[in-house]
Amino acid sequence: MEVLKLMPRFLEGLQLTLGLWAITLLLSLPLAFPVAFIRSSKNRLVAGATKFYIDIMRGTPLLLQMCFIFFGLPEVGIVFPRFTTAVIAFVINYTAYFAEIFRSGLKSIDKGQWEAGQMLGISKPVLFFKVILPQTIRTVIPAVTNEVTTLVKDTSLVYILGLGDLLRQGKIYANSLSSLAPFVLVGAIYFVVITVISKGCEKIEKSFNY
Amino acid sequence: MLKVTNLYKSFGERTVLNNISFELNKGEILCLRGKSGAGKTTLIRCICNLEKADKGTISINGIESLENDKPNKAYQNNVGMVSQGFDLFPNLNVMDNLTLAPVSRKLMTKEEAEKAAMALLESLGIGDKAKSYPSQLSGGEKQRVAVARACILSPSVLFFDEPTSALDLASTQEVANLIEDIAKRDIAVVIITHDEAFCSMLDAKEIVIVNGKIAE
Repeated sequence: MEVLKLMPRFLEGLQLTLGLWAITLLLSLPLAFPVAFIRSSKNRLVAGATKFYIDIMRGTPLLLQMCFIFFGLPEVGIVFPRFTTAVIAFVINYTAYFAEIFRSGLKSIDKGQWEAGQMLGISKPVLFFKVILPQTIRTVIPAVTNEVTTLVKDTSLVYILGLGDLLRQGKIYANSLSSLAPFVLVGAIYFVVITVISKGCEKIEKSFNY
Repeated sequence: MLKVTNLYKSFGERTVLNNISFELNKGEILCLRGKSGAGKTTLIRCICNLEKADKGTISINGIESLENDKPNKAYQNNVGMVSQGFDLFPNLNVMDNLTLAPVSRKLMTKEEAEKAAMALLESLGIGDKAKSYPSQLSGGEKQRVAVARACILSPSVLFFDEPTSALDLASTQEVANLIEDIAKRDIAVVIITHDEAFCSMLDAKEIVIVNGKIAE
């Protein structure tokens, strides 16, 4: 069980993986709501611009977007450190996906709810936060869970920036030990982490017990 | 009290309301009858400011529905609606459905609103449902909650959109009794329906709408 001695190295990698995962979620989930609203705007210019942004994010590989920021932007004098690059790329990419999920969730709420609120004289912000948002969140949890778990695995793309995430640590030791065991262990760690996250999301879904 | 004068509304080429005028006093019940597409729903949506009429005026107790071409808040307080689908807020329990408007609008404290809500629910025979969620209620119970939610704001006019569309005869009679009870509280009630038998159960005025016009 030589490979278990490498556990501290893997946990360091996991720290980076989960750090990037958490920061991406903390920033992209709140950002996605305004983007979803702007995307549904009646102003065709802003709605169109938002659609263009979402199309670019969904239509090109995340790996390419990261390369563009890290290797491309310095050409015009904009330089970001490695981890910051990863955060920027992941946040703008995942915000686009979450925005589309939220937009579909908002659209699924019956117009009658807004009208009932209007008839009762409830202000739009109160209605949104007390009535519309909780229903939207419940509707989108399954789709968001998918993205949240995919995000854990997508973080392995940061190898291109030379960051030492969980998978990269596995690769380094698989090479140096000429063994598949580090990969097996890394796979097991990913599996456990994602299982825990999925269970957490399920719990949140069940907490909306109406 | 409720006064609708020379109301017109078109959607594109199609004229939906064509010179509608009528009046209604407090405690009176009005049945607006007509076939699907006759313009009944559009009429009450205009009266409730959910739709804007092209021409004509609407007022309650002399307060006009529009002020500078925008919905008039002072007017809006006078109208309540029980829509066809009831449109209860599914994520809130019955009590919160009732108290959200008066509390968030600072018309009542939370305690006052809960007391008023409980009194209303009890008078409608659903006092035991205060902690239930809409999905746990029957159709008739949902309707009563929607009535209570509208009544907690003490409207002058309460609108019902097709309150008996999916009910058997016995339940229809119950809804008729419910509406007569509401009218006794000095609320004017306007009911949209295509159900002639239901109208005959009520001591109500009747207006029949054909192609956007009041039939003689």
